[in-house]
Amino acid sequence: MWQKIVDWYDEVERYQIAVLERPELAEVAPPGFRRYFAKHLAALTPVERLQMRDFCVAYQGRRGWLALAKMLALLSFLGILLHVGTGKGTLLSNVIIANMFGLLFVFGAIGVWFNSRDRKHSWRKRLFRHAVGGVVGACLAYAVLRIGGAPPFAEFVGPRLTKVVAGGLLGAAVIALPMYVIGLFRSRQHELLTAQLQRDAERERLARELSESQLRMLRAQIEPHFLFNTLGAVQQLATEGAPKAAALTGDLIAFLRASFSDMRCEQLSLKSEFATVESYLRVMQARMGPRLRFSLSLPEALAPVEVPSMIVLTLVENAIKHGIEPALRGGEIRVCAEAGAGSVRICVHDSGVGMSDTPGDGAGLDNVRRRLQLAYGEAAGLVLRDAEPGPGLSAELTVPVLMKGAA
Amino acid sequence: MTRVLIAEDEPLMRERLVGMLAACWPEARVVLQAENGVDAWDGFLEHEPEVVFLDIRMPGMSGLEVAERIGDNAHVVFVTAYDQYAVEAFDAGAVDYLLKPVQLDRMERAVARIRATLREAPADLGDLLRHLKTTLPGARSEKMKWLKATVGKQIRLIDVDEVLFFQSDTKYTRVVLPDSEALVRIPLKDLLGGLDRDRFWQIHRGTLVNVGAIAAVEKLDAERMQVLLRGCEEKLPVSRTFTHLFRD
Repeated sequence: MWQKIVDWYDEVERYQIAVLERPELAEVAPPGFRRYFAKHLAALTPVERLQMRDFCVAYQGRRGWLALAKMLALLSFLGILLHVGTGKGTLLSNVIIANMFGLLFVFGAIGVWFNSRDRKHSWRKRLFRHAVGGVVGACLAYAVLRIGGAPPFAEFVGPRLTKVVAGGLLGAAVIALPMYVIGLFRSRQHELLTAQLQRDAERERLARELSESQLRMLRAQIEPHFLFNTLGAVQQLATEGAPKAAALTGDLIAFLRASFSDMRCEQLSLKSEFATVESYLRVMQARMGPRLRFSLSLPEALAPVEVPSMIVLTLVENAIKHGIEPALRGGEIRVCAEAGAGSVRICVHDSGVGMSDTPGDGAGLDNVRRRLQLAYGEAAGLVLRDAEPGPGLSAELTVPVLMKGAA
Repeated sequence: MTRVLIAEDEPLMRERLVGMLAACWPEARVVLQAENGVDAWDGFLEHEPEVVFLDIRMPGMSGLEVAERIGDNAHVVFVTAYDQYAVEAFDAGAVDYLLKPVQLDRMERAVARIRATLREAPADLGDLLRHLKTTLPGARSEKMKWLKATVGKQIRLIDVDEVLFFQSDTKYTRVVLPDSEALVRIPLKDLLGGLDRDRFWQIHRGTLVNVGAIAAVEKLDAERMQVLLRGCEEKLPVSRTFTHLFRD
C-alpha cells in the first residue's frame, strides 16, 4: 500500500517536471486532475517554469521526503522548546501547533514563491478568503487544543465566541502579511528578470540580424552569375591577348578583396566604400562595354565619414541590375556624396529604365533599409525617386555624420 | 553553309561565342550578332537563320521571349549563367543549353548535337517558354497603353487599343488609326516587346496588326497571303514566317 502511494507520487512528480520542461505536453494531458495541473503549469512564464523545474528536481523523490522529515523534526523540536518555555498546554498540543504553523508558513511561502504574479484578485475576494481562512484556522486550532485536553466546544468556545473569531482573523492576517511581502518581492524580482531576459534576447537578435545581413550582402556580391560572367570576360580578353585582361583581373581582385574584408566590419569610411564601388563599376564596364558609363565624386572632406559597409555598393548594384542592364541602350551611373547639416547625403543616380519597369525582388533594398535601421534607428533614410530629368532612378541615402575617431 | 544568329548582351561574351563557333564549326556563317533581344528578333526575321544562340537575360526582350516568337522556325541553343531552366529546356526540345562562360569542349559538343539535329524540323518551344517567362527574374510584364506621336507642333497621345496597325518606316514607325495616322520616333522592333502579343499580331518583319481590325485574309497563292482590314483600304502582306497564324 505504502509502496503504491510512493510509486504514484514519484510518477506524478516526473510528469510535473516533464510538463515544466515541455509545456506543450499539457495539450495532450489525460483529462482529470492531471490536465488541470498541467494546464496551470503550462500557463506559467518561461522564467517561472524554469525556476519551478529546478526546485522540483532538487526535491525530487527521496530528497523531498528527507527534507520534509528534517523539517518536521525541527518543528517538533521547536514545539518541545515552546512547551518547556511557556509551560502551557500539553507537550503534544505544543508540538502539533509548532508543526502546523511551521508547515503553514513553509508551504504557503512555496506557493506564493511560485505564484507571485497571481495577485489580480479583487479586494472583496481577498477579504472573503481571509475570513474563510480565519474560521477554518480557528476550527483547526480548536481541534488541536481539544486533542491537547481542552474542554468540549460548548463550554470552551461559547463564552468567548467573538474573541475566538477575532483571534482566527488576526492569525490569518499574521500568516497573510509575510506571504504578501514574499509575493511582492518575488513579482518584482520576476519583472526585473523578465526585462533582463528580454533585453538579452533583443541584443542577441540585433547582433544576429546584423551578421545575417552582412552575410547576405556578401552572397549577393559574389553570386555565381557575377563571377562566372566576369571570368568569361577575362578569359575572352586573355584569348585575344588584350592588355585589358590584366586590368580587368586587377579590378576583379580589388573588388573581391574589398568584399571579403568589408563584410567583416560594420562601418567603413566613404573613401573605402567608394573605392570598392569603383572597382565594381570598372568590372561591369569592361563587361558591358559602351552600354555603361559612370562617374564618382567624393569631396575630400567627406572621405573619412563612416557608413555601414557595402551599403552604397548595394545601391549601385541595384542601379546596374534593375536600371542599366534591362535598358536597350544602356545608360549612365553617377555616384556622389555631399555634406548636409549633421548628415551626409549619398546619391546613386542611373539613367536606366526607371521605377515602373523594375519588378525585381527588392531584397537588396530591404537589406539596406534594415542595416540603416540597425545602425542609426530613425536618423537615417533611403528615398527612391524617378530621376529628374528622366529617364532613370535616383536613390538618395542620408546618414548622420560619424567622423572616424570623433566618438 | 548554315546560317547562325548569336544574341548576347555582353560584347566580350559575344566575341567569345563567335570565336569559338568559328573554331569548331567552319561551315557555319554568323549572319548577325545581336546585342539585345529586340535586335535578335528583328535580325531573325531579316536573315532567317537556321540556328540561333540566345542569351536568356537580355535587355529589350528576354531570350525566352525571342525563342517563343521564333517557335519552330529555327533550332535554338540557350546560353546563360542561370542553370535552373536546363532540364525544362531540354524536355521542351531546345537543342542545347550552354552555361556561361562557355568552354571550347562544351561548344564542340553543342555543335555536334546541332549538326545531328539540323536535318530534323526544329521543336517548338512555345508552350514551355510561355510558362518559363513568368518565372524568369526581371521579366517584363507591363504592357504599353499609350503612345506619344509628334504631329506638327502638337504631341498627340494615342490609345494603343485604337491602332489598326503599325508599320516600320526605317527609324520611325507609322501608326495607322481608323481616321488618321501618325509617325512615332521609335523603331518598330523596339515597340514590339511593349505591345500585347495576343492583341497585336506580327504578320511581317515590318508590320504589327490589331487582331480586332482584321476583316479577312486573302490567299494569293500557295505561299503568299494578305490581310484586309475593317475601316481601311490598305492591304497588308503576310510574310512566310507568319502564315501559320492564319492556317487552320
